[in-house]
Amino acid sequence: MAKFVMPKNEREFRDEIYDEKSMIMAGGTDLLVKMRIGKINPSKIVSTLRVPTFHALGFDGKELIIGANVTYSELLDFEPVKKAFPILYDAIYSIGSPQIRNRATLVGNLINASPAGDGLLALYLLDAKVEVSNGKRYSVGEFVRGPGQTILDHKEYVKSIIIEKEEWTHRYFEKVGQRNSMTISIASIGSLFKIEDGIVKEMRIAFGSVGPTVLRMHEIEEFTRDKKLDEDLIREISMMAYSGVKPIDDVRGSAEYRRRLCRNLIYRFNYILERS
Amino acid sequence: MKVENATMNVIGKKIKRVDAIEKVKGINKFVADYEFKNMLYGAIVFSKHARALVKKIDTSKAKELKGVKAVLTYSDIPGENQLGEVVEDMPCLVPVGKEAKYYGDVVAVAAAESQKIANAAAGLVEVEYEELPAVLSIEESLKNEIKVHESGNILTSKKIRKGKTEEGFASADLVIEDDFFADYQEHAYLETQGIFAVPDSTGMTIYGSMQCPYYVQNAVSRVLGIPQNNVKIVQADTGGAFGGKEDVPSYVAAQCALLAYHTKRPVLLSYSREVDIQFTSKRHPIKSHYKVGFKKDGKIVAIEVNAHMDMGAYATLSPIVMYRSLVHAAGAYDVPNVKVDIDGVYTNKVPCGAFRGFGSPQVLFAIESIMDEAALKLKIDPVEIRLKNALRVGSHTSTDHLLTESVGSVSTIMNAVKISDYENLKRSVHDFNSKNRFKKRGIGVSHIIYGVALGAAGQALDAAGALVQVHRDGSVTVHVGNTEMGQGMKTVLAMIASETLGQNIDMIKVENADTSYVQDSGPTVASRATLFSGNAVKEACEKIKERMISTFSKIKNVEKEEVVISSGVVRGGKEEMNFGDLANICYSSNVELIANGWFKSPKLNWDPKTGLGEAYLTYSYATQIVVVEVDMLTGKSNVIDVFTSHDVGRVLNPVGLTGQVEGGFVQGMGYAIYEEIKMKDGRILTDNFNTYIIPTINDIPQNIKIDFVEDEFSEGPFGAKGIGEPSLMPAPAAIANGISNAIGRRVKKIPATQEYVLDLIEKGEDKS
Repeated sequence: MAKFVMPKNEREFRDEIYDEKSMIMAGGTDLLVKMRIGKINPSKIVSTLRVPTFHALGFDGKELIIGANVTYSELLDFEPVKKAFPILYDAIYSIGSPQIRNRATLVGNLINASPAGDGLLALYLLDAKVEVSNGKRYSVGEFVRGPGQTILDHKEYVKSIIIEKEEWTHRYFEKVGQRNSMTISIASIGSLFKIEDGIVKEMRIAFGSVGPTVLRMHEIEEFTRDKKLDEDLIREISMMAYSGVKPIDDVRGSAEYRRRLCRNLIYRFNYILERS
Repeated sequence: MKVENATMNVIGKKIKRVDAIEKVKGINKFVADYEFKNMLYGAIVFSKHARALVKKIDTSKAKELKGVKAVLTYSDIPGENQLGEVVEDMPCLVPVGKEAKYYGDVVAVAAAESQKIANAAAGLVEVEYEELPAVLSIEESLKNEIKVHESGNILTSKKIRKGKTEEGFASADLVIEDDFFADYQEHAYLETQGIFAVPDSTGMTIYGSMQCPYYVQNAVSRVLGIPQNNVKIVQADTGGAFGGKEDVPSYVAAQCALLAYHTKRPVLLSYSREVDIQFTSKRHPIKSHYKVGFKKDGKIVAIEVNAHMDMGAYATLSPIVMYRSLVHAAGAYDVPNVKVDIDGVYTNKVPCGAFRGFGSPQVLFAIESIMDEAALKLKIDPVEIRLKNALRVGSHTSTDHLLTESVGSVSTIMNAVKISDYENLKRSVHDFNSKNRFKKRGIGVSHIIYGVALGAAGQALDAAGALVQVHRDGSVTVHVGNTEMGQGMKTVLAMIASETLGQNIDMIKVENADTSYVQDSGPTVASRATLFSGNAVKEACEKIKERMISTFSKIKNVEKEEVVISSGVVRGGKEEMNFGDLANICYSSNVELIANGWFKSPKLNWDPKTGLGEAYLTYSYATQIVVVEVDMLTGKSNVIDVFTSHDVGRVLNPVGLTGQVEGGFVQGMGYAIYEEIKMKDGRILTDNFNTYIIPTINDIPQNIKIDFVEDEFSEGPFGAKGIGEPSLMPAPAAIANGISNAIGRRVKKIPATQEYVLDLIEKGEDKS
């Protein structure tokens, strides 16, 4: 049976996580599930819940700062998230159920480093930075090394996530799961656009659940620069998506289905076309 | 037939569930909530191979673990090791030298001071297996090269031969021939399987989550080798069953009883969700080949069906499930020429058994798909083609059963058309589709028949008893042999007792089934509890009421015919008295206020050689119209609107009835589009609800409109038939037809998962 501790400040927190077999719990919606099926077996669980600095949540007009224990529900309720970072709001809203969002945290989702992480997909799109206890800041792409893997060693932890505000004219997020909620993505897509007079000045695109990590597809981002967004461009991007993703077969769907989903989801950009 | 219901006080009224408050508050007890002094916890050891010879079982390491009280194998069974309700082909524990026939076949059981130690002990049991090639599909099974059982892979075959199908096809203007496949479904009851075995000086009492206490009594008595009067079965509050607790609790109880027998201590055996899904029964996969001939006007002239059902490793209830598939294969229609052949085949997979509908939704999906396809080809509306072929009083069913009463089939069609505003619905779907590029909507129609109770094949079990007692204060205890598992039986029986006795419903308590009170009342399955236990309760109450009226008439000097008891008050002439006061007087005069009721199925004539005769006592009918929206880019389907009309004979409790139909629809919808058992080498991969996908509240359509038609059944209590299963039956077919209509291609497999539907949409296109 694992020991459970709730340190009251970061200093105590650092002391508690020193132990090799300790694990950090920031929400626990992944951790407890993994423990129940015996995938992990920590000797000690260290909770982020009582550490005041982990509850930091703020926006100064330029940067959004999200502490290690900020839950999805708190983010959904935080007005600047909805207004200035709507793609993050969309992604979070698609996660689990209200009960899960009341416990689960964005930092937990980051550390879990699942390619199916919906919050994580938004972080990739927004070029979020990760502030680690060693004082360094990393981009999300640097921070996540592979499925379930990050650059953290066991004595380190994430203090917060920092997202800089940028203006985008259009966005699209969609998650395809096996049902409408309480579902894990079979494939997901997120995209941000700067469109002027029908021309794509800049765009970012990322896919979830179709590779070892969330995939930012820079080749599509480069390809579309300064091109007119029309049905031809959409068709071309969709083919690039089909051949660019690297899905595998699993219990939720085949690799081929995932590849087709990525191709087909690009056609939703027609909605953007109608509005731009 | 229509009975005047102006005199009813309770029947037909909206009555709140009698067991609602304690369930909402969480104060009632399910079996895993029970505690007994000195109790132990059980765990099972099962084979992790699809097929393997058990060469050696070594329990020594498990026994050495501190806190372990027993680790038992087949050689510890004092009585019979073989179990099975129909064919005794399933061992309680697989013996050394015999084959473990599926991933989940149990070889040993352990009991310990805590669940954790019991699980650890189960993990320490060392079983030496010799892996053998396994049969993992119907096709492989039919080759009969590897035999699952020595007797051969086809256990049993059933058929219908009505008229001359060759002549029917010769006269047809259109013949449709196609293959269909309906896959597994898991019951996904809230409460997993659980049994508490509590030994006493002569035998034991078994408490548990179950549908059929008498099955459990029989199995435990056999395995322990002790007489049935020393094995008392008391049903604990049961958190859902859906057929999954028909025969399975017999096996769980046998394992648990064995542990209690050897340790002489109370033992709780409660399955984890993963063990439950891996080891226990499912809905049968059925592959079917249909050939149906139509005249130009849509009239069916002949049906031929050839179907194979995957029974899994043991027969369990399959032969009787097959009977229902057989009878329902040709659907709800008046067809002159019918030929059906169905085989049950063994495979090295989880044994399939009872599941709400019992072998019929698989074939109803197939025939209803063909009806829609025919409507399309003949340019007839899907509703019209069903009306054209529907059964009526005077029609003969596919087994040549002449229908003489309570045939609400046409009424359900007309009613569904009305409540859906069908013509406008079609227009609005057309409008939606002309405005939307990536989402398309389709209308799906289905019309079904459902045989109520066990039917000709189960006549020997089709009876039920009741024991009703009026206490001195006028309160009433009702014992029946059927079980409440969430379906609302207790409420309906309390209503029947209340209406019959004239006592208020809040003074009536319906107890959980206990084998020491009521004679074997058959299983609580086949939508039969209202009809069978209902009639038994009614009879018992009538006997008591007669005695109470007689007592009242004597002491008040009024004619018996003048005495009326209703709403807890007895009236006769100018005299009036409370029900409780009269009960008290009866007690003081030594009047017997306890009585039995017994209802048995009238004899049904059936010829198994031709499959012709009176297949079931009566039939329920339903028509459903749904609107399904399909995302053409992902293949994902959402049901938008549901309009469903059921003929239930007589509505006893509108609230409970509506609840049953809503629940049945949602479970049928899960089966139609979401729920998928995925296997690898016979092992179920989707063994919890993160991968076995059932609908959540967000998947349920906002608009579910339910209505009933009443065409009373003269032998039913107050004219009622059954609803438990018919509530689910039309949904898979209607939804599959809705998807087909939306995408313009025929769905031939359920679940029609999004991946399957996208395949259909893109079929023929360049897949790159």
